[in-house]
Amino acid sequence: MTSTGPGCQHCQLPGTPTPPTCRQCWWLPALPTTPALLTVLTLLVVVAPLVGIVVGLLDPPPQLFASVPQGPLDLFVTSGAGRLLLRSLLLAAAVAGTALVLGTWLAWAEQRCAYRGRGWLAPASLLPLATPSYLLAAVLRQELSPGGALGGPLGLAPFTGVPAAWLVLSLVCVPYVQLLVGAALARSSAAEEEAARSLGVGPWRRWTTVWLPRLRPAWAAALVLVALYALGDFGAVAVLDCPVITWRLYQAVELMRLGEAAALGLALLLATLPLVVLARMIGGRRRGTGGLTLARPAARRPLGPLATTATWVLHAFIIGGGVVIPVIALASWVLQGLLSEGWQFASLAEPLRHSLLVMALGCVSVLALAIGPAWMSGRSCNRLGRWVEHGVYCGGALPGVLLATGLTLLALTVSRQFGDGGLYALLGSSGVLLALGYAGRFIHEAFAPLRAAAQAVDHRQGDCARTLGAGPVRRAWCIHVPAIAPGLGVAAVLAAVAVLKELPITLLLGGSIGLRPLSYRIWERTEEMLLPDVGLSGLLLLGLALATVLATLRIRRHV
Amino acid sequence: MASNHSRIPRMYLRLLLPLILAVSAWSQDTLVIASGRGESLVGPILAEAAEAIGLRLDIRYGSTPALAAQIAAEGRQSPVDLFFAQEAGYLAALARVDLLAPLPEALLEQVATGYRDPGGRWVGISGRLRALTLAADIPLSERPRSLRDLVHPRWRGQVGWAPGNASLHAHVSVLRHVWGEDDTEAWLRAMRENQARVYPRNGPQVGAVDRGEIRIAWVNHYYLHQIRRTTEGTAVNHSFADAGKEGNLMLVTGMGIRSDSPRRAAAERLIAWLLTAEGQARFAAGYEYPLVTGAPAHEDLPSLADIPLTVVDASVLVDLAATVDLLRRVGLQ
Repeated sequence: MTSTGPGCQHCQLPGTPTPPTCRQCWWLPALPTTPALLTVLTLLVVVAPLVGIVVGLLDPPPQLFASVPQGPLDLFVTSGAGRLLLRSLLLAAAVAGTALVLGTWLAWAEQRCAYRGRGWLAPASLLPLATPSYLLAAVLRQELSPGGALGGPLGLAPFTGVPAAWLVLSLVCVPYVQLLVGAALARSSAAEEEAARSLGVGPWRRWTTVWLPRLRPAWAAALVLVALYALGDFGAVAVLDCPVITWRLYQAVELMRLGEAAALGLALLLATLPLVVLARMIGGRRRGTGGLTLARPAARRPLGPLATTATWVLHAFIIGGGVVIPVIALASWVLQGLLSEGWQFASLAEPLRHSLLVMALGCVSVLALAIGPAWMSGRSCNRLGRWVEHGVYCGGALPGVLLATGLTLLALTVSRQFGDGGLYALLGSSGVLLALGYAGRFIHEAFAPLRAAAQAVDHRQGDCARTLGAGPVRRAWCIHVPAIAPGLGVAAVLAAVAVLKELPITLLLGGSIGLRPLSYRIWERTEEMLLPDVGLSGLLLLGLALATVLATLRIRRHV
Repeated sequence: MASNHSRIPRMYLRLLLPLILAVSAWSQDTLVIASGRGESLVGPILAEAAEAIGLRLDIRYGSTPALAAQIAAEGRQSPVDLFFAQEAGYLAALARVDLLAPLPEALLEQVATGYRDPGGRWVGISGRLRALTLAADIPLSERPRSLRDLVHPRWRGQVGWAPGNASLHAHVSVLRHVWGEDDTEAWLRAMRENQARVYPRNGPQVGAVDRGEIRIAWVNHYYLHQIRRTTEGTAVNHSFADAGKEGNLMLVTGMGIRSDSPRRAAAERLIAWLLTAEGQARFAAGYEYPLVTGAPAHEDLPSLADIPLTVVDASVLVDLAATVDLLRRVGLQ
């Protein structure tokens, strides 16, 4: 038997290929390695908020101002969890359906059609990815309301509630669908369609037999991901006073009505988890449909005048609503402040300083927790690696407000066991809860690039270093870290920008350590209707986020 | 290799120890304030106070109910030194469970007895008047004459309120005292059935009146003045005549020092500065009513002598548990 690798580290079976364990030993931990320990810690962090929600419902912490204790069932009823969840699910379904139709149209036009302006309109339609939903909601609420710059002349009704949230979330989610469906179209070869055409198959039959089967997995993935996003969104629904479950959950935590928060959190969890599992299942099947043939792009077909106009209108709606109107509105609010006598802009020094702090904290916590699972998953091409990946992505798909609520409840419950609230004070004031919140929420952002980097590491260098007497720390520092450094860099940037834009975790867990980054400044000044300050902070945050999105779009074009 | 490993822990100690000492020193000199007042409202004032008296501040903003509950949950281990509450009722609740320290008489006697704790554990800093912000096109003859008028069908879906806000909790506590429990509950239910629109705070309601989303906002008086600094509009403030004076309530923002705070002296100095003429003038500039006897209010504000106020004992505001229970029974919490 020819030896092709170092052999299984457990049974020493020779000839085992590169993964360090053979099929019989896949379930044994890679012992006693730091990546394995970090992976266990990471999965504990992912699970901790869920445990907090359940424990908080079964044994709600005592409240300062409520005299009537309630059982779990009473909490479900009085919190209105059922009604709120139904409304949230309807909103998510509406947003997913709208985004699917509009995003597919844009993706098809980008990948399969030729029309004037396609080269810059199609990438520009992805720019709303940079706009935080709460910022877009604040701008549109102000400008589209009866007294607003657009709402006034057009005679529009007040821009609040479920219809407003539908519009805002659709604007933010259409680019996701455009990306997913566009990627599926780009991977698909034109050979089958050309063969069908040459055999005289009509357009409708070609669509149903050739394209529909290819798009179905992408549609399914897009529907589930957009539904997850809409179900878990907090910023837009809060600004628009949309009575859905995430907004009510935040209000319950804010007022320390923690039993009610636990009931709402559990309802949200029960609605979210099936979608998360479905998303992972579909993601797995999509990997299997990457195409057995070499993808040969089809010739672009020119759009007719009516279709071209409709496509331009759609581009204008997405780009205008998602980027242009926010930028113009924010700039006008800044101008309003500059021209107002006696107005003084609040200094941006502290929000910038705190933004850098949260980005650093988030970055460190996300990378620290992602590196272990990414290494294990990247180096183990077996069931264990896949389950680790599932756990990481499931945790990252949970809404931020749910994670923050769960961590608060868990910390309070554990602290009560120790008596005097000191542990809760310590965890909150030290920033531990905040770091865990960011890590659990954004670990998936860092996981993918780190996993790819781990897969690319050549194990033979480590083996040589080991035989020359280098210890594990030295091997890690001199060989592994330089090898994964590019992946670390990408992961750090993605995590930092995601943390910068994050709102509910920052509000619920950052307040106890006095952190007030840009996202907090925008939120607080929007609530107090101090629009010039919102404009200044919003332009800065939007600029940073747009720069990141443009950079990733450039990478996408060159990949 | 062994020498490399033994050098690493010492290297970390050399790097970390100065950092730990610096953080420790900074935290000892820094006053931690939990502020239920918004940063935009009091941030500049507190910064000016800190500079004037040479203090470092670590301010943690949040909602008054949440901060009060957090301080209660953290108990004696709380890192907070000073609690700046939007409503005195929450200070009174913390005082009742011995979480606030007695204040010096020299601080307390600067404000009238109705604006400080009878037990001396919190003191009022500024006053805010509960009022209605109305759309300007509502004729004088149709303006509400009392809070009870807000449930009239003509105002269906046109009234805004913030049931989660500490100001409303305090006002409902007073209504329970003035109207009685049953009438207050009936009124709250009628407001809900009349589709009064729920807002998270007071500020957005005034903007909503300007934007035409609603026509009446039940808020604190100064929000309208603050928004007018940058945003033009036509909404106006309205107070009630004698017959409806339970709608005219002066709410007190106040401060209390946590009983186990190691920085009590520094906290007292901060409170003292806020009660000086300079400190009170800063609140007046923000359109709040100064509480120190003799301190002038902003010239744009109506004189309190012209407004029939509902006067209640501070102890009425302590009964927040019953108010929160009532709001929950009615489905507003």
